[in-house]
Amino acid sequence: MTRRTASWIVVVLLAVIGLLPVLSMVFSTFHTEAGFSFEGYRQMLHTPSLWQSFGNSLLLAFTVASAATLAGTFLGILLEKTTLYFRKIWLALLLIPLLIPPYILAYGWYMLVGREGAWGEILFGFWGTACILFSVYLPIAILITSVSLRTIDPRFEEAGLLVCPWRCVLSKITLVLMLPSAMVSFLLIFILSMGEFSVANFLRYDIFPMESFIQFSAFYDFRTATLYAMPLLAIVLVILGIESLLFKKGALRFKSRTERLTIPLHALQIPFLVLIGTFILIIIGMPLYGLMHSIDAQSFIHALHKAAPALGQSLLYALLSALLLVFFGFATAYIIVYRTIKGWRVLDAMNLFWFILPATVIGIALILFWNRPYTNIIYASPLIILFGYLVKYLFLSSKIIELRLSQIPRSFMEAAQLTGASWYQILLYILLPLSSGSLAAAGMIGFVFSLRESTLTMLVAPAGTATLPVYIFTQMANGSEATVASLCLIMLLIVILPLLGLSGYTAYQGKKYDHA
Amino acid sequence: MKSLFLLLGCAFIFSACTSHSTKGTVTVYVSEDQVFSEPLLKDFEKETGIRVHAIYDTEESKSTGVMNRLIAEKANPQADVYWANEPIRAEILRQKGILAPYASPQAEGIPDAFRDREHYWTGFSARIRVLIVQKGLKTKPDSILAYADPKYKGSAVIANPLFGTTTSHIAALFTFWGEQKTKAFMKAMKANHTALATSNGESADFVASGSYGFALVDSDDAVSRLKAGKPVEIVYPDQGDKGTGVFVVPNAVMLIRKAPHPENAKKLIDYLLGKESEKKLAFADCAQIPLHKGIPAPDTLKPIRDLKTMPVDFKQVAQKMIEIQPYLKAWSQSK
Repeated sequence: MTRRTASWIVVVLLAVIGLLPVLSMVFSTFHTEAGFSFEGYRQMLHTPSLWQSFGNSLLLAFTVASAATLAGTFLGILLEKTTLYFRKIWLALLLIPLLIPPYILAYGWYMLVGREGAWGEILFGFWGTACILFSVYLPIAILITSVSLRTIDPRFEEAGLLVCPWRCVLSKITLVLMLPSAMVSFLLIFILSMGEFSVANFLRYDIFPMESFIQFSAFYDFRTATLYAMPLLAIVLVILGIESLLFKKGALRFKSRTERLTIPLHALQIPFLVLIGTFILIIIGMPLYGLMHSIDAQSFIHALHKAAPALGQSLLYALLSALLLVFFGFATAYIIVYRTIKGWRVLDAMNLFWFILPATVIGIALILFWNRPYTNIIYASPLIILFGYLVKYLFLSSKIIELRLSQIPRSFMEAAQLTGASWYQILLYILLPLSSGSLAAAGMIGFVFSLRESTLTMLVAPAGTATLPVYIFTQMANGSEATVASLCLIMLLIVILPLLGLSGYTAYQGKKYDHA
Repeated sequence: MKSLFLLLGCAFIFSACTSHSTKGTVTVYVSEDQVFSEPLLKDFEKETGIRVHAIYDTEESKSTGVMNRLIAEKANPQADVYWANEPIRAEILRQKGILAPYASPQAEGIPDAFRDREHYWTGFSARIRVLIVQKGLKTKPDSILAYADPKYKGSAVIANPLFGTTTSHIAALFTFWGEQKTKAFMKAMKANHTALATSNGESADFVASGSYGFALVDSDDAVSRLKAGKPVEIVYPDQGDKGTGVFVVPNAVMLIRKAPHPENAKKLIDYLLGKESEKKLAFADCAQIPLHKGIPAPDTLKPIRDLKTMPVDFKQVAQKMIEIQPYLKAWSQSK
């Protein structure tokens, strides 16, 4: 099989799994009783309330993305480039909000401050929503900053230090070199904030995805609901344009360097420790306390017993989904990086389009396309959940692997080709081993995101296959507060414990290797 | 790479194999809260040996998630039975051709007003729409018209009428009062600074915490706050001669057209409509009012026979509900 044929097989598989269902939904937005028409779009543009909620979404996404990028850049530098004590522990703690479903944080804050009073007023609205999304997406900015800092050639900073102190080097060299990655961080968080629905819904802040949701839930109008998701496509196109510009200039070619300069903190050690400790206490400690203070051992055991089947199913589907995401993530990254077929950009755009599309639209598209008697083996089984996760999160796994593949020198492949190695052998014996770290990272991200997903699962999960996030939602309707809080804690533990285990194992293996 | 392929293959086979066996099962989509409905379905499993696969609605989907699934799955239904928490949306499903008629023998004794004449759905275990009122409120409202009364300006809250039983109630008012009077009432309600909550539960919480004087909610929302010791009381609205009466919202159960397991589906419907099920729901925390005669009502609520109820044609209400959705959306977004 040639490389081209294999690439086409992957593209066709992805097209059948997710693109055709979504495209058929998109085409339906142009279909009226009179035939092909832009009437729906014309009406949408003339609906003032849509502009209002679209403005709210833009404001929210801009606020969250700006704040998270600024704070993430600062914290990334503090944790990656300084001599601050316990840097790994701080980083691990700061990652927690990204790993759990965002509504759990919102629920934690609600349990802490309630609905009434001044704090309740702040929580339920723009500021509450923005602050929670800020804490959820801050880790993305920190991680991107960390990766970006590792790519900076220390010779630039060394040269700078000859003529001015660190403060000046940071502002005039380091931060300038980091600007493209800060832009990526901003764009990614902007997209995620535009599409995130559960926190704003819980905290009653009117955002654009709500319009699409109302069309589904109050009007049962799938066509208009899809139509109302289309403005997000315009945003995707703009972001793709910016992203392609950044790539064109080579701004995102991360090349990790082993040597790097660190900033000694000296007298600032204690103030920064207090600062980061207080910050973590506020954005993570307080909502978690809010969740846990109503839990007692009995309610926790009771909740664990009740949620056991959903818990098992959640872990299983997340694991299978991670496998699928690694496989297709690698395949699409390979096609995009090595441009094995014409139209590779379409594949890239498709991944981003799926990622930003509201989960309700993807869910209904999958139902309408896959729910047929002869495809029951897929629709009536958990495969449909896996398809949903694949479609929704392929962008993440593909991008992670793509970044790694783009760093592997082409000379390795050319040398292998000269010795007569086929494309498959190059892939198997050069590219896969060299990108194993990114495959593990993509798998872990896929696992975590699949584990925390709820909206899509609710729509497509076959009867009797509820996952833990869905179970928590169903219990929120008239379930006891202690039970719901216990379930949220279980959710938190099942996301964090495997990651702690994995990082402990990696550290142990690293030490063993160093010792040997 | 080979091991990845192998793992993927195993994953697919495993996932496909976990699809449900088609023998001895019944699939039910449920809009009633899981905490109340699941115990009853478990009892059915125990008593009949038929495995129940259920999908429950969530707060996030505002009790309409499974409705969307039923509509999207129309061509190839996966569900056998739908247990709705009110009959209006059942009517919408009937109009969309998603339901099949089934005259359950257990429906005998349930008043005609709460079952479809053509047996597409049957009501059981009802909630009523009541006013939850802050204890100690100087003048207690006794009618939903209090929402438009300047005396209560700024002290009332209601759930967003775009969702849930509040939509049904407003649609029922449209059929009972007519369009002109209802729209005037809605306009006056807005002018009276009525606050909007996202759900009946939240409305009840607002009243329980003293933020608002009263709210129109489902009886289970009011009863649960009462049982939790909150300083509230229940008022049955519009009981006077000129009053509309209370709006009764029964649960409704229905058979899905081309259900994969029709026989088991009928057994489940019979079970849910039975007196024993109504009794269990009456004495559960949801305190739902039995529709069969001879079953005691929950202590916290009056029996339906002691109340003046609002005469409702659910078919008409369903049609009206579809018609007024754009109006309700505009109303809820207006200031």
